[in-house]
Amino acid sequence: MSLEVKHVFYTYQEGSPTESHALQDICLTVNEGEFLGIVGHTGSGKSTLIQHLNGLLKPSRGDVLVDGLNINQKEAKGKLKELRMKVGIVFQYPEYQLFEETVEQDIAFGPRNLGLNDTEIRQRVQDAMALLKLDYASLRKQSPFDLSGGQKRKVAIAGVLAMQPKYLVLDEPTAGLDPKGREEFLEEIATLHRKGMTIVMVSHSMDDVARYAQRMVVLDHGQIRLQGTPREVFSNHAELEAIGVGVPTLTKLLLELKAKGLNVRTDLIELHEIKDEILRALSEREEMAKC
Amino acid sequence: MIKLNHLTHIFYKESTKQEVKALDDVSLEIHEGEHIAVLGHNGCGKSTLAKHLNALLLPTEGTVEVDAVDTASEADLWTIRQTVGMVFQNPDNQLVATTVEEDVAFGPENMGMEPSIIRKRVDEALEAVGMQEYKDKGPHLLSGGQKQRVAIAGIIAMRPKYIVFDEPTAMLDPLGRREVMETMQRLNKEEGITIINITHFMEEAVLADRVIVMEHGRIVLSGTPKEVFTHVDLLKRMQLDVPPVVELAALLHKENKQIAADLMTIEEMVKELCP
Repeated sequence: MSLEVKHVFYTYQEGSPTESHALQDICLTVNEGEFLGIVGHTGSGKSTLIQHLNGLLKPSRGDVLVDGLNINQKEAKGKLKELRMKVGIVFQYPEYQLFEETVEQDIAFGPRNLGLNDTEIRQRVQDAMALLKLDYASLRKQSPFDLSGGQKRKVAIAGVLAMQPKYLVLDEPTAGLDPKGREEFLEEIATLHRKGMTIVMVSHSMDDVARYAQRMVVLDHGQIRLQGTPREVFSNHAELEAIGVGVPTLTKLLLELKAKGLNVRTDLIELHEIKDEILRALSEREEMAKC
Repeated sequence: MIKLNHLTHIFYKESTKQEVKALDDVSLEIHEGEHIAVLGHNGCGKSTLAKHLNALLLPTEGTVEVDAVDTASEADLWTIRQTVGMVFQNPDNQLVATTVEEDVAFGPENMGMEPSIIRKRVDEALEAVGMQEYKDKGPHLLSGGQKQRVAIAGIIAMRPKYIVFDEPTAMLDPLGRREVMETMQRLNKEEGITIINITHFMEEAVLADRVIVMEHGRIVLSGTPKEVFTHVDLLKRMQLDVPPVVELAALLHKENKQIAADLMTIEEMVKELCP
């Protein structure tokens, strides 16, 4: 089972003088259970692409399949609701979408619209909150607007999780959070992934993608320019610099050290492996100098 | 000079019916021409501190003086606010007019300036942030970084001596962040404006002359970026975001004392390891 994007084109304001090609011939498969990172500039088509994943936008050309169901075809018409339950999208600054009087009501909004009974709804709210380590008993009666920024965002995401999606798509989930909030948040998402949820995360941060994603794609001007594991993708540093998204800070450091003649590997990502590699290369250089 | 004398600020929190000490006996001197970064995570009091610098908030105890004027003096409120400008986090909340130049003119117009002077100030302010070519555009058509630069131009047009930036880059993408940081640097170096940057980002703090770290309403660390960043363990314990190079330098130094521990940037690290 997977999300499949096949030769998708998307044009905004087609036929008008301001028409713009937001996506051009995108082919991408999101496999069940994986953690996929999507990176690219503002305006590269990231947000347009993810809105295709649950049929909020329909491709101008090409096909999008959710677990084999083509969202463009007639047979999908009556099934859009089911499809949107499978693919939950969390937009940027989701806390702006909170609107209910209490945290519980806000998270319950989706399940209630599914026509579930009260017991089922409560169960779903509790489960969703537990996934994000939000305390049900103390928070349920609070107004979501009285919470801190990070907590508001968690409540908004709990609202999506209460729909029990199989695929969770997050657009810049850590934008605007402070470092502590960001770290906690990424860990929560990693936990959801470990519990079996498929994660698609759009991010500006190469460091975050390097740390969390199993596979990544780089979008530029509506096209996929690179894809693979972070190690594979980040080894194309020249191309990444040309696109202007750059590489993780420490990858850049390794590259510059190598350019200066220090014999280090440049495909490393974790802090400790990089430290060990630099120490190894330094002692190697010392040995050489002795000879 | 802005002088904080044993500043304490107590909020009454409606939801918990409790008093919260947001600032606890803070003393600080900000000198003309300085570029200061104030770090700390949410709730440490850094925004409360910022709002005291131009009398948006007044001390519960202690005093704040802007160029020797007490901010509690209501008669001097306009002078204080003209002397100390403020740029906030969300650019969308700070723009009011339908074109960029009208937006920048908003402040000077409210001060009742001559139209010819307003014209001059607006042009100069837009030039200082590199936005002259957008002067006739609608602010809503700009990117986040551009909007924030227009907000900064609106402040510059009032000719403040000090500008307080309250997390100006938190909502921007990497490009927008760079634009705003470059603008901030230029205002400090070329125009001589004193900068107080309240931020979460250590990469920004590295650019400052002096870094102040706050926790629980108090100043816990203060010094040059190099001095502050040698306290990697403390910063990590406070869950502040330590730049990867700083963290790596500390780890390398632990195992090989010949490597300096106070490296902050890629350039410094490369120079240290491959001289």
